[in-house]
Order: sequence, then C-alpha cells, then structure tokens
Amino acid sequence: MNNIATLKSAVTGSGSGNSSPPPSPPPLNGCPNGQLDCLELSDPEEDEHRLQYAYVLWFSQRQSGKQNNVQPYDQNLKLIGGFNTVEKFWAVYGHLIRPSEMALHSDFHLFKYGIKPMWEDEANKDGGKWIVRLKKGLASRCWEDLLLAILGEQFMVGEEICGAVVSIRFQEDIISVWNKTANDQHTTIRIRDTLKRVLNLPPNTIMEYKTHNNSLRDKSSFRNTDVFLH
Amino acid sequence: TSTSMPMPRYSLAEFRYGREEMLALMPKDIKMPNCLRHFPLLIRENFQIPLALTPVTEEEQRLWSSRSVNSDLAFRASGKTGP
Repeated sequence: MNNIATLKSAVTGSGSGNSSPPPSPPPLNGCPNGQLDCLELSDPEEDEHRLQYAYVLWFSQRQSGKQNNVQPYDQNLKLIGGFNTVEKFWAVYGHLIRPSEMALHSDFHLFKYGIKPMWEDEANKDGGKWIVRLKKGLASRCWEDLLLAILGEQFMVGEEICGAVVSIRFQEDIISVWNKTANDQHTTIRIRDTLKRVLNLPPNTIMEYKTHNNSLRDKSSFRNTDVFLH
Repeated sequence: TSTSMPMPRYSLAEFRYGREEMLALMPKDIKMPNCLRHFPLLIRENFQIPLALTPVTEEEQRLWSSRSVNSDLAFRASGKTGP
C-alpha cells in the first residue's frame, strides 16, 4: 500500500470497482520526494465512507531568528498525511494536536490531493482566499468545523474549493479558505456565506478576501486585503 | 416568477456528509496512522475526541459572546478602530 501505484489507484478510484470521482488522476508534483510514500491512501475498505476527494494535510512553521536567511516557503512545508475516507480523516485528525496548541508562526494546511498549498500552484494561480482573523482561543473549534464542512462537501461550489489553512500568529489566529477562481463572484460569495454559517460567525464579523496574484505581488498572505463588513 | 441573478450550475458532489454524519462515522477503534510518527511534536498518542463533542469552555463562551470574534488586527485592516 505504500507505493505510488496504489496511491494513484486509490485517488482515481480505479481498481476498487467503484466508478466514483475524483475525475482525473491528480498530478503527483505536489509532494516532496520521499514523503509521498507515507500517505496512507489505500483503497477504501468496504465499510469505509469515501470522501469526494482525497486530501493531504501539511504543516509549516517559520524558522525564527533567521530573517535574513529565510528558507523558501516550500522547504518549510511538511506533508503530514493524507486520507480519502471519513474514517481515515478521523484517524489523522484525532491524533494531531489542536491548532491552539501549535507554536507561533505555524500553520496546518488541508488541500485536495494534487494541489500544493502555494499561490503558484496551477490550481491556485487564478484563485484567492477568504480570511477570518480571530481572537486567540477560537481557532481550534473553527478549524474543526471548517474541516467537517469541506470534507463533507457542504460548500456546494462544485470543484472550486482548493483547501483551507489555519495560521497561528502573534495576537491572532487566522482561518483561510482557498478557491480556484478569484473573479467568480457567485462562487466567492457563496463560500463566504457558507463559511459564516459553518463557523457560526456573528453577523458583524469582518471577512477579508485576497487574490493570490496580489499575494504574489506584495509577498504577503494577510496584508492589503479586500475587507467585507456586514 | 422572476429570477434576479443567473446562478451558476455547480455539479453536485456524489459523496456528501453533514456535520452530524461526519461525527457519527467516527470509528470506535482508531489507530494512529504511521505517517504521523514522523512528527512527534504534532501528535497525540491517544485519540482526541472532536471538539464538537466536548462542551464549550467558559473562556470560549466569553469570547463568542464578546462584541466581536475578530482580532484587533482585523479591525486595523478594516480601517475601523475597534468593534
């Protein structure tokens, strides 16, 4: 089960007698060498519940005290694990620390298999993200609610969702949801409204949107956003 | 019967699970996936019950019922001074 062939067949659904999506085999370029084989994406057991997509969980942490010698972002990205069923998700999620227990400047990234959590990725390059900056103490519950909604396909925007990130920062924690097409307003609005519902955000919550193009331009994840107040 | 905006047609997902279903499908015996063993600082040996099944703490309740769930930095970004 620990090989790419199995992984591929797990992701495409071939070999399982199950004629279900994901539609095409995702590219394997998203995974650093030597880490792909630790994904446990074997074909779902008979009693398991398949997810619409396979997902990969990543972790990153900014190295402290090396401002002049910043490692390339993708070298800080560590692939933690992957899953393609509800049961396998719980096995991964339930054995990880909560976001609130993570060190400052660390992030969990949950992305569809084949999409790297980077602005430059083919699936992200025309996309953007919704951002909710939260007071400390709220991120863990929000992150869990968000994961359940994404994996359960509650956003109802077809294939538009790329992934989600929780970022632990100084004086705030940030939840982001990335989508494919930043200029598709129907989709971005639906994602915003669903996000509000699934996280139970109060009506006055500030939400921000930023295109990855703008992030590439100003090299920042959370500055210069479009702010939405209600 | 008028529709103001044409809604895009999204393909409906075949595998959908509501929040309660996701929670109900949590297996009874869960082993830690081997891949997690590479990250000793990120893992918990014993399975942690989802927060959805644990009561909200007093602190969380206080934060949720405060004037805003946003951080002060969110207000700074929005150009407002405070909630």
